Amino acid sequence: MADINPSSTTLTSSEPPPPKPRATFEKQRNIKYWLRCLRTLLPTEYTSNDLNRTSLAFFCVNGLHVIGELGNLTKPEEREEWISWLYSCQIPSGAGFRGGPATDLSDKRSPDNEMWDPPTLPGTFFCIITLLSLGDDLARINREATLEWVASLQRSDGSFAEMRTGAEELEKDHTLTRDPRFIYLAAAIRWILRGEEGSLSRETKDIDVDQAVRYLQSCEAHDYGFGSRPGAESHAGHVFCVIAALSLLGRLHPPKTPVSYPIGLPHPEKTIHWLVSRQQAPTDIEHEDFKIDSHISPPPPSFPAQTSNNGFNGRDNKRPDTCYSFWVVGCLDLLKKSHLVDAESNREYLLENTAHIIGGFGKVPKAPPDVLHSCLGAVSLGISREEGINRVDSALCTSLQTRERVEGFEWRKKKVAA
Amino acid sequence: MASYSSEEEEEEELDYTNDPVWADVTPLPQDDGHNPLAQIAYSPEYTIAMSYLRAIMAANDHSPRVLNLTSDIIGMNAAHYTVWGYRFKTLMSLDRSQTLEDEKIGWSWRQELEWVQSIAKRYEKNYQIWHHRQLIIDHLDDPTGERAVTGEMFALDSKNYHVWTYRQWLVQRFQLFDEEELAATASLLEEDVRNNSAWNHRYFIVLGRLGEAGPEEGVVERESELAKEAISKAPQNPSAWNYLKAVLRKGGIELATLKPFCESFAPILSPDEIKSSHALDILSEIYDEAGDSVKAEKALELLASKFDPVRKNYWRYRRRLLGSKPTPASDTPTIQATA
Ligand SMILES: [Zn+2]
Repeated sequence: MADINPSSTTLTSSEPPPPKPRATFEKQRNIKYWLRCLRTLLPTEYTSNDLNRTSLAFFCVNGLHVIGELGNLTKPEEREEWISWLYSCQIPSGAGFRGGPATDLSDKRSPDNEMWDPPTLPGTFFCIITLLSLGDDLARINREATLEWVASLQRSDGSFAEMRTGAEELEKDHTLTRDPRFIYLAAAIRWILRGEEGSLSRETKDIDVDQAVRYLQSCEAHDYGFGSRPGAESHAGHVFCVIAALSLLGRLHPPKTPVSYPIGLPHPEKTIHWLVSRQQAPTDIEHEDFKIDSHISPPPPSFPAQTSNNGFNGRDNKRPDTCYSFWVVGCLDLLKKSHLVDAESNREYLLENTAHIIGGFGKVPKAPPDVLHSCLGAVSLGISREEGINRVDSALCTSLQTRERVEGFEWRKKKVAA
Repeated sequence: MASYSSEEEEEEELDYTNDPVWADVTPLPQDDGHNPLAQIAYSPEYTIAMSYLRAIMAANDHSPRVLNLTSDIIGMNAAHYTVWGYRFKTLMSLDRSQTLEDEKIGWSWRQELEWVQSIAKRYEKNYQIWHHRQLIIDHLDDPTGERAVTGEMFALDSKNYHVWTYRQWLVQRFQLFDEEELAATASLLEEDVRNNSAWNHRYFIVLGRLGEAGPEEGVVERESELAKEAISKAPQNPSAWNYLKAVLRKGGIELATLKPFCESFAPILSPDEIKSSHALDILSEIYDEAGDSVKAEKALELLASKFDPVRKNYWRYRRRLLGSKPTPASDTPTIQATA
């Protein structure tokens, strides 16, 4: 970050220093980064994502897709093989996808042990979006079975289980995870697969949308953000899941006249305030002992704070982090308020501070790139229409083109009697 | 069998191919097909352990050796949700047959908890570890020492979301809304007044679980004093301002009562003395509610042009909203947080 200190430069006139050149999105480097991720092994450190390997697949394919080069720079055979691999993650009944091949019991799989190899909401969402990016039309998915499985994961309070597991009977109601992420994933899968009323081949149990909305609303915190459950601290990742889920359930924007069902954010203007408050510049990257996980808060910004290089943090008094440039701006985009942030400043943070010389984006300044932050950094720039990046759809975190393709699928349209 | 003890377990490498314990198991290798996506450079140790895990799961084997196998894998991939679930089921089945603590296995729930904590310190950003701990503590129905365990984690990262989630569960499950909990948040805030997690937890303890009933006598005063003191120390700390506003709201006290306090940090007629953008923000709301649109506009313009210009689009948007008070209906939460 080149903050120019006027007293230390030898200016002889009172002229302001020349403006710094505008950073550019280094498309070629990003292409190289994604092709390497797609064609060579990911480093051993990714082992912690092994059970959600399909999320890594999503970031890699979607990353290249969002910058508009997936179709140009990969071969049709390659894409076919990747599509086959994704379908190999679908469980034999056709009702959902596992998180990755690590639990695949292949020919040893039986009704007695299949609970150790379950389909999961993340696995199913990531496989579906990745298939769509690769040009697949989802014909090999059993829509009815998948939708019924999704509905079966919902609990009476509206929340969703991530999956059914073999240890489930040992859980009690209060030990179960019930955060907004899984409602978001269920809402996205439902939005894609359910289509228009009357498009399914048989009656298919739907989720309880009213209860899902009530649960999402109940996660509002005292500062009008949303956390992982009622009472939890506001966190931009959960706020994204709440807003994107409402959007995909058709419950984000209340109509002008009052309705009898639950709809919208409880306090939309206050939540917008919470969201725009996330924008902040890093305060300690110049420090020698820069340590992102230091146990106390980073130094506060100067007052008034600098206007350049402001990324986004996920919670109050935390450091900005590349992924929140998407989670936060994506929320505002869905609320039709993304113009309220300083997009240029966010761009500076991404392109000058976290873009990496080998392509991709790191989590924070000086960090090596990883697939999650590289993908989400590009999607964030896509929201503000960066040159060289496709237009994006914030709710599905992919290209707008993908969403439009889904909307055009014949199988999503109402069946007309022949 | 001493090999189940936690210390050695971390050091010891399991020798699946030569140890007779595993001789009856035919490993089930991973089928990655042709040209997979997101292939990871697994370590050879992980690859082999996972092949044994698949074989063990396929057979629904919950014998004592599963404890070694699962801890081996967790040491390499602590986010492996299936292996945690499989381990818990095995522990429970050994517990039910009353063999967990016998000589042959020589393990105990307390040892399990110690081992879990050693893993938690190695992998701080992990959900599964805390879920596992939650299941055990729930099963033992005894929270003794658990606050200290989370305290150790807060010494490493006082904002660890997973640990805070666990702490909230603990408080709720064992009804620990007490002085000790209050003191714990106070001491974290003393160490770092910007710790938003600690502020949130304090809100949860003091005001978050109230249903219809309002706060007890004196609580709102005490908590707003605490927040005001914190603000005096750090006027740009959003956590303390958010806490103050929420406490007043919960106590049914009007925002307008904050006017003198806010003006002491943001005298809009002497911009040089302004020390807090948050005070300006609240003042704009107070002036607007009082119908003083000139002052409200002034506060927002100071924010946009000088004191918080990165949000200038937002402050100008707020200026356009002046005079359009939210309807009472939209300002009443539609849902009460469940206690
Ligand atoms: Zn991040």
